Amino acid sequence: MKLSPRMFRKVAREEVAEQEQSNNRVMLASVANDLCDTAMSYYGDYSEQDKAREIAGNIRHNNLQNLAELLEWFELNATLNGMNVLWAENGEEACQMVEEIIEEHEVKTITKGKSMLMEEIDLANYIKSRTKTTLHEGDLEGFIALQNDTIRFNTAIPTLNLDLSEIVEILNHRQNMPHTNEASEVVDYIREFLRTKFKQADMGITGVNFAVASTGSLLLLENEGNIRWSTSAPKVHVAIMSIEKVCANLDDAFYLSSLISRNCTGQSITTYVSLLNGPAKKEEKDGPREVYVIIVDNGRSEVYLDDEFREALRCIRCGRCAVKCPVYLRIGAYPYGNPYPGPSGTVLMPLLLGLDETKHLYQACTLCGACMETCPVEIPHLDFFQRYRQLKASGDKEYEATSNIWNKMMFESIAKGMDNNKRYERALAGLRAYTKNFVTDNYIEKMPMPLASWFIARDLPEIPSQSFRAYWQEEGFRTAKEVKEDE
Amino acid sequence: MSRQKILDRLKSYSPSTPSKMKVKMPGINKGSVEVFAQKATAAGAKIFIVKDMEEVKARIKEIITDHPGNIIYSSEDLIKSLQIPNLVSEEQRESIEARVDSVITYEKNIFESNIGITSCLYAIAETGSLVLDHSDYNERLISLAPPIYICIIKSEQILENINMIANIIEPEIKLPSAYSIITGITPAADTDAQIGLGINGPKQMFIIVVKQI
Repeated sequence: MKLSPRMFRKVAREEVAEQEQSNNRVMLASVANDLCDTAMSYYGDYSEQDKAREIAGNIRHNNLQNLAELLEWFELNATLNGMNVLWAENGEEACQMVEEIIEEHEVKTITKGKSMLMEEIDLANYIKSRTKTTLHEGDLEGFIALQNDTIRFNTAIPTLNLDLSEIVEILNHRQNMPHTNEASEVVDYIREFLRTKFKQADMGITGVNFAVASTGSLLLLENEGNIRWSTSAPKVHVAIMSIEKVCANLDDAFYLSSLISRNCTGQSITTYVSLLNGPAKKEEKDGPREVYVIIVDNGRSEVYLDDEFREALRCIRCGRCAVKCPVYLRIGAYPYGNPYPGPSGTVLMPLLLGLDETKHLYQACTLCGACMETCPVEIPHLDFFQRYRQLKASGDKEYEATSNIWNKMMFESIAKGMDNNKRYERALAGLRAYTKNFVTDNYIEKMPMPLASWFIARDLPEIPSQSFRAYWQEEGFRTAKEVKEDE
Repeated sequence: MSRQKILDRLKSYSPSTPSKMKVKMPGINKGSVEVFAQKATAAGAKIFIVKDMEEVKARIKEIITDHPGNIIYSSEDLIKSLQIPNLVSEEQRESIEARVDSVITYEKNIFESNIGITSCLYAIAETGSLVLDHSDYNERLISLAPPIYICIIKSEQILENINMIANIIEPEIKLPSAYSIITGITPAADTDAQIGLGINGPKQMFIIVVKQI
């Protein structure tokens, strides 16, 4: 089943119920803590972390300020290096370009590396439905997630929600892998399976972590080796990148890369870093003979032109914000229904898909600010989420928001009530009397519409029969005004 | 067409504030062998620090003896000087220099070899990484396909940190087709302690550092 942000509430409810039956939530929280602790150990202390965030934030800010120039510079150098640079305005155009490359090189088998952009443009499904080419996921966790017909659960560890026995069950069911209790046997089985596919592949498709303008190179990070396979064994390599992935120079790219590995997996560097400068030279025995780089816009240049939202494109996709987010840790990735689960996607997706389509994402945020405090490139997540809520409430047409008339009326009434002391007292007295009908064991667990949905996941303590102000007066304590007058 | 549209849109924004500071990374400093060994070991590699090339040969011979199967090696001067075929005593085992293979034979041999041997361009002390530049003298798959990978480096090739690599590569006019920076073996990265360990790359990695006195 294809998930979408519109299904957020339904899927979140299912996930919470399922997690209460298993230890997934405990596991996710524990892995998240481990990752954060390890990431911190590379910084030494918080001041070091702040310094790194400032440097990285500046790098990304500079990259975005000069985006058009950097893209042109990268294109020039990459072309001089022998790469074919293509530009796609949207996902469909990018998919068509890949289809044309497949036809031109008569590609029968493709291996792909993990890429969020490929998921965003739904490239795998396009290839499956429009070509006769077989596409194999080369990334271990992506491979298992694919066998399980799910999207990835976590940026770094996509099958974080599955234990060994579940993985064995899935692989037994889909691939006839013999039952085993040994993780090493599962690894050996997948290793051999993927190795055959890497050997057969005519084409490798990967994402790009950074495109380096000064050298015309592509920088790719990974732990498993599947990207090295996909960019070494097949004769054609297609790299797909979004426009904001370009960096001015190698210094910047290496600096940002170190932040991805620290914040994503808690490593000082990923096991493999590939710096690809073009097709293999004639004398080389391996490496691709043709390299294509597809630069995909897919709505980002419109975001770029909006002064308020441009910095949303700073994100380096480390996923650190997700493992610090209390909402993500409670519900996991699936409810977000997009390739960028957690706060980073909640910043980007409303700008690409519209505020109505994605309303549950930014409305689910508790505004605790943990994402913003930890973001290695200083993205002000909360500013985005609050602005989205404002635009949604006001029915902003540019970002496809329609306001809810009932919500609007309700909040206008609340504002009116709170604006005047007497009205406020009267409203509170009315509410106190009304809610008494719903109290069970000192708690309100259910209320009728329009408050019913608020109580689905929350209980409210009984509203005391007397307000604090009334109690204060009754006890004869002096008010602040009286104290001030006496002084 | 799309190119022009995208660039025109991006260019319609002209930054009102000048770009902020550029980060200047340090120059080029040599790194410590001990730090490199410690970090590489932590990443899952086994390190041997030896005094000369004779000791390198002895170590390689030990590893080859302990692990069966064919050996494929690169054609870098350092590796060729080891005369690897002379280190393989069993007659049924093959030692193959990748460069002299035809492409078809290379593709067959690379998948059938159990041990890959190369040198590297630099190593990085801070992370315990190896930096390989790929060419017809050092094919990409030798350090990836065989389950056992051996890399031989000299201590003077060790640099302090990764940004120094940027300072060396950036001014190069002609870049090799690819660089690989390799740090140990793939760590386990899943709910179970072993899932993912060495999944697509080598399962074991040996680094022999020649520290000349």
